[in-house]
Amino acid sequence: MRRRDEYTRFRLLDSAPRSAAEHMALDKIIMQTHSQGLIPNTLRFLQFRPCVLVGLHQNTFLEVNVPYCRQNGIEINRRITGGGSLYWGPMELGWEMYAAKDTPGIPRKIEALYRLLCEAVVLGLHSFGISAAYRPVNDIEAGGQKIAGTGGTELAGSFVFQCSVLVDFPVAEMMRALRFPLEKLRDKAVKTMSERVTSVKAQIGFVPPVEQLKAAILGGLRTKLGYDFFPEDLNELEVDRLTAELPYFQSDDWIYGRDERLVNTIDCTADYKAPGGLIRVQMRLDDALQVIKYVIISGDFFAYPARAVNDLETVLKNTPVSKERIRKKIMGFFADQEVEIPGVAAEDFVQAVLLAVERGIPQAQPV
Amino acid sequence: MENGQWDFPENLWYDEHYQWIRKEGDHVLFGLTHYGLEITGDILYLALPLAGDEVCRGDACGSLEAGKWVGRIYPPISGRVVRVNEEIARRPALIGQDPYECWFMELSPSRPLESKGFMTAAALRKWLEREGQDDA
Repeated sequence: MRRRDEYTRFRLLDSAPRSAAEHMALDKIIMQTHSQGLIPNTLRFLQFRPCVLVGLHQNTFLEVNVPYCRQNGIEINRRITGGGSLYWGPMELGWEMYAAKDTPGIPRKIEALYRLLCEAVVLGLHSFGISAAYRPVNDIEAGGQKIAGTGGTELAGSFVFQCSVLVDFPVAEMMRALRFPLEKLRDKAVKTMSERVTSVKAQIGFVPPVEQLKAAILGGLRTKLGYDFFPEDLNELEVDRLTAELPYFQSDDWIYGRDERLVNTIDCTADYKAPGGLIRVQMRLDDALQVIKYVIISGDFFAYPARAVNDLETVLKNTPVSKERIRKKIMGFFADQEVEIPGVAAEDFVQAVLLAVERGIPQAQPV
Repeated sequence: MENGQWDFPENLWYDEHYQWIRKEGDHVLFGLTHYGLEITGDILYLALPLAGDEVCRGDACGSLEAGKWVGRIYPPISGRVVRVNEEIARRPALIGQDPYECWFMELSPSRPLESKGFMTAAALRKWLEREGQDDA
Protein backbone atom coordinates (compact mmCIF):
# COMPACT_ATOMS: atom_id res chain seq x y z
CA MET A 1 0.00 0.00 0.00
CA ARG A 2 1.27 3.45 -0.89
CA ARG A 3 2.02 5.93 1.87
CA ARG A 4 -0.29 8.94 2.20
CA ASP A 5 2.44 11.37 1.13
CA GLU A 6 2.87 9.50 -2.15
CA TYR A 7 -0.65 10.65 -2.99
CA THR A 8 -0.59 14.13 -1.48
CA ARG A 9 2.82 15.12 -2.89
CA PHE A 10 2.05 16.50 -6.35
CA ARG A 11 4.45 17.03 -9.21
CA LEU A 12 3.97 20.60 -10.47
CA LEU A 13 4.29 21.17 -14.23
CA ASP A 14 4.42 24.76 -15.37
CA SER A 15 5.50 25.30 -18.95
CA ALA A 16 5.63 28.39 -21.11
CA PRO A 17 2.60 28.91 -23.37
CA ARG A 18 2.23 26.01 -25.78
CA SER A 19 0.13 25.46 -28.86
CA ALA A 20 -3.41 24.21 -28.38
CA ALA A 21 -2.49 20.93 -30.08
CA GLU A 22 0.44 20.39 -27.69
CA HIS A 23 -1.72 21.07 -24.66
CA MET A 24 -4.51 18.77 -25.85
CA ALA A 25 -2.02 16.02 -26.66
CA LEU A 26 -0.45 16.43 -23.24
CA ASP A 27 -3.87 16.10 -21.62
CA LYS A 28 -4.22 12.67 -23.18
CA ILE A 29 -0.62 11.64 -22.53
CA ILE A 30 -0.49 12.65 -18.88
CA MET A 31 -3.88 11.04 -18.27
CA GLN A 32 -2.78 7.83 -19.95
CA THR A 33 0.65 7.75 -18.28
CA HIS A 34 -0.85 8.43 -14.87
CA SER A 35 -3.44 5.68 -15.32
CA GLN A 36 -0.56 3.27 -16.04
CA GLY A 37 1.03 4.17 -12.71
CA LEU A 38 4.11 5.62 -14.39
CA ILE A 39 3.96 9.16 -13.02
CA PRO A 40 2.94 10.67 -9.68
CA ASN A 41 -0.11 12.80 -9.02
CA THR A 42 0.41 15.96 -11.05
CA LEU A 43 -0.82 19.52 -11.14
CA ARG A 44 -0.27 21.36 -14.41
CA PHE A 45 -0.66 25.05 -15.25
CA LEU A 46 -1.61 25.94 -18.81
CA GLN A 47 -1.34 29.10 -20.84
CA PHE A 48 -2.20 29.29 -24.51
CA ARG A 49 -1.66 31.45 -27.49
CA PRO A 50 -5.15 32.70 -28.55
CA CYS A 51 -7.23 29.66 -29.44
CA VAL A 52 -10.67 28.11 -29.38
CA LEU A 53 -11.28 24.66 -27.95
CA VAL A 54 -14.40 22.66 -28.69
CA GLY A 55 -15.73 19.88 -26.45
CA LEU A 56 -15.11 16.23 -27.29
CA HIS A 57 -18.43 15.68 -29.04
CA GLN A 58 -18.96 19.10 -30.61
CA ASN A 59 -19.18 19.93 -34.29
CA THR A 60 -16.37 22.43 -34.88
CA PHE A 61 -18.03 24.12 -37.85
CA LEU A 62 -21.22 24.79 -35.88
CA GLU A 63 -19.37 26.11 -32.83
CA VAL A 64 -16.46 28.04 -34.33
CA ASN A 65 -16.15 30.83 -36.86
CA VAL A 66 -13.47 28.85 -38.69
CA PRO A 67 -12.70 31.42 -41.42
CA TYR A 68 -12.25 34.19 -38.85
CA CYS A 69 -9.95 32.05 -36.72
CA ARG A 70 -7.86 31.04 -39.72
CA GLN A 71 -7.52 34.64 -40.89
CA ASN A 72 -6.54 35.87 -37.46
CA GLY A 73 -4.12 33.18 -36.34
CA ILE A 74 -6.45 31.78 -33.69
CA GLU A 75 -5.72 28.09 -33.23
CA ILE A 76 -8.59 25.61 -33.18
CA ASN A 77 -8.49 22.33 -31.33
CA ARG A 78 -10.64 19.73 -29.56
CA ARG A 79 -10.53 18.81 -25.88
CA ILE A 80 -10.52 15.26 -24.56
CA THR A 81 -13.21 16.39 -22.12
CA GLY A 82 -16.85 17.31 -22.64
CA GLY A 83 -18.81 20.53 -22.46
CA GLY A 84 -19.01 23.51 -24.76
CA SER A 85 -16.65 25.59 -26.87
CA LEU A 86 -14.20 27.96 -25.20
CA TYR A 87 -12.14 30.91 -26.32
CA TRP A 88 -8.75 31.26 -24.62
CA GLY A 89 -7.10 34.66 -24.61
CA PRO A 90 -3.37 34.99 -24.00
CA MET A 91 -3.92 36.09 -20.39
CA GLU A 92 -6.25 33.28 -19.27
CA LEU A 93 -4.83 30.74 -16.85
CA GLY A 94 -5.70 27.06 -16.76
CA TRP A 95 -4.78 24.37 -14.32
CA GLU A 96 -5.34 20.65 -14.25
CA MET A 97 -5.13 18.05 -11.55
CA TYR A 98 -4.21 14.47 -12.50
CA ALA A 99 -4.60 12.14 -9.58
CA ALA A 100 -5.56 8.69 -8.44
CA LYS A 101 -9.25 8.31 -7.67
CA ASP A 102 -8.30 7.02 -4.22
CA THR A 103 -6.19 10.07 -3.36
CA PRO A 104 -7.08 11.13 0.21
CA GLY A 105 -9.80 13.76 0.26
CA ILE A 106 -11.06 13.10 -3.28
CA PRO A 107 -14.78 12.22 -3.36
CA ARG A 108 -16.10 9.61 -5.78
CA LYS A 109 -19.14 11.55 -6.84
CA ILE A 110 -18.36 13.89 -9.73
CA GLU A 111 -20.55 16.71 -8.43
CA ALA A 112 -18.78 16.54 -5.05
CA LEU A 113 -15.39 16.58 -6.81
CA TYR A 114 -16.39 19.70 -8.76
CA ARG A 115 -17.58 21.40 -5.61
CA LEU A 116 -14.41 20.60 -3.66
CA LEU A 117 -11.95 21.71 -6.31
CA CYS A 118 -13.99 24.78 -7.29
CA GLU A 119 -14.05 25.82 -3.65
CA ALA A 120 -10.25 25.59 -3.59
CA VAL A 121 -10.12 28.06 -6.51
CA VAL A 122 -12.67 30.25 -4.76
CA LEU A 123 -10.30 30.47 -1.77
CA GLY A 124 -7.51 31.54 -4.10
CA LEU A 125 -9.68 34.23 -5.70
CA HIS A 126 -10.72 35.50 -2.26
CA SER A 127 -7.04 36.31 -1.63
CA PHE A 128 -7.37 38.99 -4.34
CA GLY A 129 -10.52 40.35 -2.73
CA ILE A 130 -12.79 38.79 -5.35
CA SER A 131 -16.16 37.65 -3.99
CA ALA A 132 -16.14 34.39 -5.90
CA ALA A 133 -18.39 31.44 -5.19
CA TYR A 134 -19.00 27.94 -6.52
CA ARG A 135 -22.02 27.77 -8.83
CA PRO A 136 -23.29 24.21 -9.37
CA VAL A 137 -22.61 22.13 -11.28
CA ASN A 138 -19.22 23.20 -12.51
CA ASP A 139 -18.72 26.96 -12.62
CA ILE A 140 -17.22 29.62 -10.39
CA GLU A 141 -18.92 32.98 -10.39
CA ALA A 142 -18.38 36.46 -9.03
CA GLY A 143 -21.45 38.66 -8.66
CA GLY A 144 -23.46 36.19 -10.71
CA GLN A 145 -21.01 36.31 -13.65
CA LYS A 146 -18.83 33.37 -14.63
CA ILE A 147 -15.15 33.83 -13.79
CA ALA A 148 -13.96 30.23 -14.18
CA GLY A 149 -15.17 27.02 -15.79
CA THR A 150 -14.26 23.42 -15.20
CA GLY A 151 -14.41 19.96 -16.76
CA GLY A 152 -12.79 16.57 -16.47
CA THR A 153 -12.51 12.96 -17.42
CA GLU A 154 -11.24 9.67 -16.04
CA LEU A 155 -9.32 6.62 -17.16
CA ALA A 156 -8.98 3.43 -15.12
CA GLY A 157 -7.95 4.50 -11.59
CA SER A 158 -7.09 8.08 -12.53
CA PHE A 159 -8.96 11.30 -13.18
CA VAL A 160 -8.18 14.76 -14.50
CA PHE A 161 -9.99 17.88 -13.33
CA GLN A 162 -9.54 20.98 -15.47
CA CYS A 163 -10.20 24.61 -14.62
CA SER A 164 -9.87 27.79 -16.68
CA VAL A 165 -9.71 31.12 -14.85
CA LEU A 166 -10.63 34.21 -16.87
CA VAL A 167 -7.94 36.79 -16.15
CA ASP A 168 -8.40 39.52 -18.78
CA PHE A 169 -11.07 38.13 -21.00
CA PRO A 170 -11.71 39.72 -24.43
CA VAL A 171 -15.46 39.19 -24.81
CA ALA A 172 -15.71 40.87 -28.23
CA GLU A 173 -12.92 38.70 -29.65
CA MET A 174 -14.54 35.57 -28.21
CA MET A 175 -17.76 36.49 -29.99
CA ARG A 176 -15.95 36.89 -33.29
CA ALA A 177 -14.16 33.55 -32.91
CA LEU A 178 -17.14 31.46 -31.74
CA ARG A 179 -20.64 31.16 -33.12
CA PHE A 180 -23.44 32.17 -30.77
CA PRO A 181 -27.20 32.19 -31.18
CA LEU A 182 -27.22 35.91 -30.52
CA GLU A 183 -28.74 38.86 -32.35
CA LYS A 184 -26.70 40.27 -35.17
CA LEU A 185 -26.33 43.72 -33.63
CA ARG A 186 -22.79 43.15 -32.44
CA ASP A 187 -22.63 45.88 -29.78
CA LYS A 188 -25.79 44.59 -28.13
CA ALA A 189 -24.58 41.00 -28.34
CA VAL A 190 -21.27 41.91 -26.72
CA LYS A 191 -23.14 43.72 -23.95
CA THR A 192 -25.39 40.70 -23.42
CA MET A 193 -22.40 38.39 -23.11
CA SER A 194 -20.40 40.85 -20.98
CA GLU A 195 -23.19 40.70 -18.42
CA ARG A 196 -22.61 36.95 -18.10
CA VAL A 197 -18.85 36.65 -17.82
CA THR A 198 -16.30 38.54 -15.79
CA SER A 199 -12.55 38.30 -15.20
CA VAL A 200 -9.96 38.91 -12.54
CA LYS A 201 -9.18 42.27 -14.14
CA ALA A 202 -12.85 43.25 -14.30
CA GLN A 203 -13.20 42.43 -10.62
CA ILE A 204 -10.10 44.14 -9.19
CA GLY A 205 -9.19 46.67 -11.86
CA PHE A 206 -5.81 45.29 -12.89
CA VAL A 207 -4.11 42.10 -14.04
CA PRO A 208 -1.99 40.68 -11.24
CA PRO A 209 1.30 38.95 -12.12
CA VAL A 210 0.58 35.42 -13.30
CA GLU A 211 2.89 34.01 -10.63
CA GLN A 212 0.65 35.57 -7.97
CA LEU A 213 -2.38 33.95 -9.55
CA LYS A 214 -0.68 30.56 -9.63
CA ALA A 215 0.43 30.94 -6.01
CA ALA A 216 -3.15 31.80 -5.02
CA ILE A 217 -4.54 28.68 -6.72
CA LEU A 218 -1.91 26.47 -5.11
CA GLY A 219 -2.64 28.13 -1.77
CA GLY A 220 -6.33 27.35 -2.15
CA LEU A 221 -5.58 23.71 -2.92
CA ARG A 222 -3.18 23.43 0.02
CA THR A 223 -5.72 24.92 2.39
CA LYS A 224 -8.65 22.88 1.10
CA LEU A 225 -6.90 19.54 0.58
CA GLY A 226 -3.54 19.65 2.37
CA TYR A 227 -1.56 18.74 -0.76
CA ASP A 228 2.03 19.82 -1.47
CA PHE A 229 3.41 20.80 -4.87
CA PHE A 230 6.96 20.38 -6.14
CA PRO A 231 8.11 21.76 -9.52
CA GLU A 232 9.34 19.16 -12.01
CA ASP A 233 9.39 18.62 -15.77
CA LEU A 234 7.75 16.15 -18.09
CA ASN A 235 9.67 12.88 -17.94
CA GLU A 236 11.34 11.25 -20.91
CA LEU A 237 8.44 8.90 -21.58
CA GLU A 238 5.94 11.77 -21.67
CA VAL A 239 8.16 13.75 -24.05
CA ASP A 240 8.47 10.72 -26.35
CA ARG A 241 4.73 10.19 -26.28
CA LEU A 242 4.13 13.87 -27.05
CA THR A 243 6.34 13.57 -30.13
CA ALA A 244 4.37 10.54 -31.27
CA GLU A 245 0.88 11.92 -30.55
CA LEU A 246 1.27 15.51 -31.68
CA PRO A 247 0.68 14.94 -35.41
CA TYR A 248 -2.76 13.44 -34.66
CA PHE A 249 -3.75 16.34 -32.42
CA GLN A 250 -2.70 18.70 -35.22
CA SER A 251 -4.74 16.78 -37.81
CA ASP A 252 -8.11 17.70 -39.29
CA ASP A 253 -9.40 14.27 -38.20
CA TRP A 254 -9.03 15.34 -34.58
CA ILE A 255 -9.86 19.03 -34.87
CA TYR A 256 -12.92 18.69 -37.11
CA GLY A 257 -13.86 15.21 -36.01
CA ARG A 258 -15.68 12.24 -37.45
CA ASP A 259 -19.17 13.27 -38.44
CA GLU A 260 -21.03 10.30 -36.97
CA ARG A 261 -19.76 11.05 -33.47
CA LEU A 262 -20.48 14.77 -33.53
CA VAL A 263 -23.41 16.71 -32.15
CA ASN A 264 -25.53 18.85 -34.44
CA THR A 265 -27.13 21.89 -32.90
CA ILE A 266 -29.95 24.26 -33.74
CA ASP A 267 -30.02 27.93 -32.79
CA CYS A 268 -33.35 29.60 -32.14
CA THR A 269 -34.74 32.86 -30.84
CA ALA A 270 -38.10 33.98 -29.50
CA ASP A 271 -39.55 37.22 -28.20
CA TYR A 272 -42.34 36.90 -25.66
CA LYS A 273 -44.36 39.87 -24.44
CA ALA A 274 -45.07 39.73 -20.72
CA PRO A 275 -47.00 42.47 -18.86
CA GLY A 276 -43.77 43.80 -17.34
CA GLY A 277 -41.72 43.78 -20.51
CA LEU A 278 -40.30 41.79 -23.38
CA ILE A 279 -38.50 38.50 -22.72
CA ARG A 280 -36.02 37.56 -25.44
CA VAL A 281 -34.81 33.96 -25.42
CA GLN A 282 -31.85 32.90 -27.53
CA MET A 283 -30.79 29.29 -27.25
CA ARG A 284 -28.80 26.46 -28.72
CA LEU A 285 -30.45 23.05 -28.85
CA ASP A 286 -28.97 19.61 -29.39
CA ASP A 287 -30.90 18.34 -32.38
CA ALA A 288 -30.43 14.59 -31.85
CA LEU A 289 -30.79 14.45 -28.08
CA GLN A 290 -33.30 17.29 -27.89
CA VAL A 291 -31.75 19.03 -24.93
CA ILE A 292 -31.04 22.72 -24.30
CA LYS A 293 -27.29 23.24 -24.59
CA TYR A 294 -27.51 26.77 -23.28
CA VAL A 295 -29.91 29.68 -23.22
CA ILE A 296 -29.47 33.43 -23.03
CA ILE A 297 -32.39 35.39 -21.60
CA SER A 298 -32.60 39.16 -21.95
CA GLY A 299 -35.26 41.82 -22.35
CA ASP A 300 -36.49 45.10 -20.99
CA PHE A 301 -37.73 43.80 -17.63
CA PHE A 302 -36.03 44.49 -14.29
CA ALA A 303 -34.90 41.57 -12.16
CA TYR A 304 -33.92 41.77 -8.49
CA PRO A 305 -31.31 40.56 -7.89
CA ALA A 306 -29.93 41.15 -11.37
CA ARG A 307 -27.98 37.87 -11.28
CA ALA A 308 -31.21 35.89 -11.12
CA VAL A 309 -31.47 35.70 -14.91
CA ASN A 310 -27.90 34.35 -15.22
CA ASP A 311 -28.64 31.79 -12.53
CA LEU A 312 -31.82 30.71 -14.33
CA GLU A 313 -29.82 30.26 -17.54
CA THR A 314 -27.41 27.99 -15.67
CA VAL A 315 -30.27 25.91 -14.27
CA LEU A 316 -31.68 25.36 -17.77
CA LYS A 317 -28.43 23.98 -19.26
CA ASN A 318 -28.82 20.41 -20.51
CA THR A 319 -32.56 20.31 -19.82
CA PRO A 320 -34.52 18.03 -22.17
CA VAL A 321 -36.89 19.96 -24.42
CA SER A 322 -40.00 18.59 -22.78
CA LYS A 323 -42.71 20.99 -21.64
CA GLU A 324 -42.94 19.27 -18.27
CA ARG A 325 -39.18 19.31 -17.59
CA ILE A 326 -38.78 22.94 -18.64
CA ARG A 327 -41.78 24.05 -16.58
CA LYS A 328 -40.59 22.06 -13.56
CA LYS A 329 -37.11 23.58 -13.69
CA ILE A 330 -38.29 27.17 -14.10
CA MET A 331 -41.06 26.94 -11.51
CA GLY A 332 -38.65 25.19 -9.12
CA PHE A 333 -36.07 27.92 -9.61
CA PHE A 334 -38.53 30.71 -8.78
CA ALA A 335 -39.90 28.74 -5.81
CA ASP A 336 -36.41 28.27 -4.35
CA GLN A 337 -35.01 31.75 -5.04
CA GLU A 338 -36.11 35.13 -3.79
CA VAL A 339 -36.50 36.84 -7.13
CA GLU A 340 -38.64 39.85 -7.95
CA ILE A 341 -39.41 40.81 -11.53
CA PRO A 342 -42.29 43.31 -11.60
CA GLY A 343 -44.88 42.39 -14.19
CA VAL A 344 -43.17 39.12 -15.17
CA ALA A 345 -44.18 35.80 -13.62
CA ALA A 346 -42.38 32.47 -13.65
CA GLU A 347 -45.00 31.23 -16.10
CA ASP A 348 -43.96 33.97 -18.54
CA PHE A 349 -40.42 32.56 -18.59
CA VAL A 350 -41.86 29.09 -19.15
CA GLN A 351 -43.86 30.35 -22.13
CA ALA A 352 -40.90 32.30 -23.54
CA VAL A 353 -38.55 29.30 -23.36
CA LEU A 354 -41.16 26.95 -24.82
CA LEU A 355 -41.77 29.37 -27.67
CA ALA A 356 -38.06 29.36 -28.52
CA VAL A 357 -37.95 25.55 -28.34
CA GLU A 358 -40.93 25.34 -30.66
CA ARG A 359 -39.19 27.59 -33.16
CA GLY A 360 -36.09 25.39 -33.03
CA ILE A 361 -37.68 21.95 -32.96
CA PRO A 362 -41.33 22.23 -34.00
CA GLN A 363 -41.96 18.54 -33.29
CA ALA A 364 -40.15 18.44 -29.94
CA GLN A 365 -41.09 15.34 -27.97
CA PRO A 366 -40.67 14.80 -24.22
CA VAL A 367 -37.62 12.67 -23.33
CA MET B 1 -27.67 7.56 0.40
CA GLU B 2 -26.00 4.56 2.05
CA ASN B 3 -24.98 1.78 -0.26
CA GLY B 4 -27.37 -0.63 1.48
CA GLN B 5 -30.16 1.42 -0.03
CA TRP B 6 -28.92 1.22 -3.62
CA ASP B 7 -30.73 -1.02 -6.01
CA PHE B 8 -28.40 -3.86 -7.02
CA PRO B 9 -30.57 -6.65 -8.46
CA GLU B 10 -29.50 -10.07 -7.18
CA ASN B 11 -29.72 -11.70 -10.60
CA LEU B 12 -26.91 -9.59 -12.04
CA TRP B 13 -23.13 -9.52 -11.68
CA TYR B 14 -21.11 -6.36 -11.09
CA ASP B 15 -17.63 -4.98 -11.65
CA GLU B 16 -15.46 -2.25 -10.10
CA HIS B 17 -16.49 0.30 -12.73
CA TYR B 18 -20.02 0.53 -11.31
CA GLN B 19 -21.34 -1.59 -14.18
CA TRP B 20 -23.83 -4.44 -14.11
CA ILE B 21 -23.22 -7.62 -16.12
CA ARG B 22 -25.79 -10.11 -17.37
CA LYS B 23 -24.90 -13.49 -18.88
CA GLU B 24 -27.05 -14.60 -21.78
CA GLY B 25 -25.92 -18.05 -22.89
CA ASP B 26 -22.32 -17.69 -23.93
CA HIS B 27 -22.65 -13.94 -24.31
CA VAL B 28 -22.56 -10.99 -21.90
CA LEU B 29 -24.56 -7.78 -21.78
CA PHE B 30 -23.52 -4.93 -19.52
CA GLY B 31 -24.58 -1.41 -18.55
CA LEU B 32 -24.30 1.23 -15.84
CA THR B 33 -25.69 0.63 -12.34
CA HIS B 34 -27.95 3.11 -10.59
CA TYR B 35 -25.01 3.83 -8.30
CA GLY B 36 -22.74 4.52 -11.30
CA LEU B 37 -25.34 6.90 -12.67
CA GLU B 38 -25.46 8.73 -9.35
CA ILE B 39 -21.67 9.01 -9.32
CA THR B 40 -21.51 10.37 -12.86
CA GLY B 41 -24.70 12.39 -13.28
CA ASP B 42 -27.25 12.37 -16.11
CA ILE B 43 -25.69 10.97 -19.28
CA LEU B 44 -25.87 13.33 -22.26
CA TYR B 45 -23.73 11.57 -24.87
CA LEU B 46 -22.64 8.03 -25.36
CA ALA B 47 -19.88 6.83 -27.70
CA LEU B 48 -19.88 3.07 -28.21
CA PRO B 49 -17.65 0.81 -30.31
CA LEU B 50 -18.94 -0.75 -33.52
CA ALA B 51 -20.38 -4.24 -33.84
CA GLY B 52 -17.51 -6.51 -34.82
CA ASP B 53 -14.87 -4.57 -32.88
CA GLU B 54 -12.59 -6.53 -30.57
CA VAL B 55 -12.42 -5.21 -27.00
CA CYS B 56 -10.09 -6.05 -24.15
CA ARG B 57 -11.25 -6.45 -20.57
CA GLY B 58 -10.35 -3.40 -18.50
CA ASP B 59 -9.42 -1.21 -21.48
CA ALA B 60 -11.87 1.61 -22.11
CA CYS B 61 -13.97 0.88 -25.21
CA GLY B 62 -16.35 3.85 -25.15
CA SER B 63 -17.20 7.05 -23.36
CA LEU B 64 -20.14 8.76 -21.77
CA GLU B 65 -20.50 12.47 -21.23
CA ALA B 66 -22.35 14.05 -18.36
CA GLY B 67 -22.20 17.84 -18.43
CA LYS B 68 -18.52 18.61 -18.70
CA TRP B 69 -17.38 15.22 -17.41
CA VAL B 70 -16.40 12.40 -19.74
CA GLY B 71 -16.49 8.95 -18.17
CA ARG B 72 -15.41 5.65 -19.72
CA ILE B 73 -17.05 2.38 -20.57
CA TYR B 74 -15.00 -0.70 -19.67
CA PRO B 75 -15.77 -4.14 -21.15
CA PRO B 76 -16.05 -6.67 -18.34
CA ILE B 77 -14.60 -9.41 -20.58
CA SER B 78 -12.32 -9.58 -23.60
CA GLY B 79 -14.08 -10.48 -26.81
CA ARG B 80 -15.99 -9.32 -29.85
CA VAL B 81 -18.81 -6.78 -29.89
CA VAL B 82 -21.82 -8.67 -31.24
CA ARG B 83 -24.18 -5.69 -31.18
CA VAL B 84 -24.47 -2.29 -29.56
CA ASN B 85 -27.60 -0.73 -28.16
CA GLU B 86 -28.33 1.91 -30.80
CA GLU B 87 -31.40 3.15 -28.94
CA ILE B 88 -29.31 4.07 -25.91
CA ALA B 89 -26.66 5.66 -28.11
CA ARG B 90 -29.39 7.85 -29.62
CA ARG B 91 -31.15 8.60 -26.36
CA PRO B 92 -28.73 8.25 -23.40
CA ALA B 93 -31.29 9.99 -21.17
CA LEU B 94 -33.10 6.64 -21.05
CA ILE B 95 -30.34 5.31 -18.78
CA GLY B 96 -31.55 7.67 -16.10
CA GLN B 97 -35.03 6.18 -16.25
CA ASP B 98 -34.06 2.52 -15.88
CA PRO B 99 -30.32 1.77 -15.87
CA TYR B 100 -30.78 -2.00 -15.57
CA GLU B 101 -32.72 -2.17 -18.82
CA CYS B 102 -30.19 -0.04 -20.70
CA TRP B 103 -27.37 -2.32 -21.82
CA PHE B 104 -24.45 -0.78 -23.70
CA MET B 105 -23.46 -3.76 -25.83
CA GLU B 106 -23.46 -7.53 -26.16
CA LEU B 107 -20.09 -9.27 -26.10
CA SER B 108 -18.98 -12.69 -27.30
CA PRO B 109 -16.03 -13.80 -25.15
CA SER B 110 -12.72 -14.59 -26.79
CA ARG B 111 -12.32 -17.61 -24.52
CA PRO B 112 -14.75 -19.65 -22.41
CA LEU B 113 -16.66 -17.29 -20.20
CA GLU B 114 -15.37 -16.89 -16.66
CA SER B 115 -16.88 -14.88 -13.88
CA LYS B 116 -13.53 -14.23 -12.26
CA GLY B 117 -13.50 -10.68 -10.96
CA PHE B 118 -17.27 -10.29 -11.18
CA MET B 119 -19.08 -9.50 -7.94
CA THR B 120 -22.47 -10.54 -6.68
CA ALA B 121 -24.77 -7.81 -5.37
CA ALA B 122 -23.74 -8.70 -1.81
CA ALA B 123 -20.04 -8.64 -2.70
CA LEU B 124 -20.49 -5.28 -4.42
CA ARG B 125 -22.07 -3.79 -1.31
CA LYS B 126 -19.18 -5.06 0.80
CA TRP B 127 -16.68 -3.69 -1.70
CA LEU B 128 -18.33 -0.29 -1.65
CA GLU B 129 -18.21 -0.29 2.15
CA ARG B 130 -14.51 -1.20 2.12
CA GLU B 131 -13.82 1.51 -0.42
CA GLY B 132 -15.60 4.02 1.79
CA GLN B 133 -17.84 5.08 -1.06
CA ASP B 134 -20.95 5.73 0.95
CA ASP B 135 -20.40 9.45 0.39
CA ALA B 136 -21.86 9.23 -3.10
